[in-house]
Amino acid sequence: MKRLFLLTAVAALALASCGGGSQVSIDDPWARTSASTQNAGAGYFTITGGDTADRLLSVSVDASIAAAAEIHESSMDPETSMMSMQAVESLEIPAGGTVILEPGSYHVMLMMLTEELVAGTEFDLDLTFEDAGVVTVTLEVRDE
Amino acid sequence: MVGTPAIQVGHISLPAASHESVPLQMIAEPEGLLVVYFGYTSCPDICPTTLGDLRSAMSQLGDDSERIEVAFLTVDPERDTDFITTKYVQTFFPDAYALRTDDPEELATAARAFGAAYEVAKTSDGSVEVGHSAFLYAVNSDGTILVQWPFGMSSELIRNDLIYLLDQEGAS
Repeated sequence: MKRLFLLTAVAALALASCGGGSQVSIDDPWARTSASTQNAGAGYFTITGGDTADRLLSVSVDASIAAAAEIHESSMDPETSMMSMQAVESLEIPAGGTVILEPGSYHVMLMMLTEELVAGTEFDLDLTFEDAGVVTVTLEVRDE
Repeated sequence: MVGTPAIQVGHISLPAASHESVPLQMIAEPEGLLVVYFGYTSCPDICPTTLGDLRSAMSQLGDDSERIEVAFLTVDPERDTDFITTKYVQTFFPDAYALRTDDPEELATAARAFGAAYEVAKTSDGSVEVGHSAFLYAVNSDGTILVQWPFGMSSELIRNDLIYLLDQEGAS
């Protein structure tokens, strides 16, 4: 009887962690300052997965910052050395794993910036995950 | 990365949108360096990262940074007007040259000379996709490319190379 109770408790815990989302965590969210006539910006952060795998489905930003935000990946064609960007449908976040959005790789592209991004200011991004739901992160604008 | 044999670009000159479209020859001042980059202003990730790293490297050189001129050549002249290109690069470097030509052949000739590659494609939904090689080129007063830095080179390494190159040029 005691053993059965323990199993039930474990099952309840597992259920609880499912219902509570994947508990992703976001570290070091930042965006680079933009030049005055630069119409696109970029945001970066590190996503660490929780106990279960999750998926970043979309990002959104207030219209006071930019018209739209998308997940993009910069990559280099090894033959031509040309770098280009592709929109990414979604980002798999492995359980306990880390996905880094950084210059030259995955990033949030801010399209049609409404105003210049000025060092020292902050703005919010809403990240929508399949399990964790909407997670709001505050990006610090840096002159890096 | 050093080209073998050394690549000469001194015969190339391009209209400097930042300087009333007076052509700028791809030659540094005596004992100086001209750092050239091929990019476009609506580039959110690669171009600002590279220009930011160069700015950071130059900011650690003290007065010697005045021996370095920066030129940004847009590969997307249809969208990058003279004004946009100038304001863009001068946000990073107040004295920089914004280079822009409406003549596709002139742009292609310049890119071939440097060994740079670019591609501007309009997609079916009307958006523009740009691909470009993302090297920074350091040119000396002979019009020789001394070094080309690939994307992702840290500002510390660029700074160290700049110190070395400025020493070499000053001693020659």
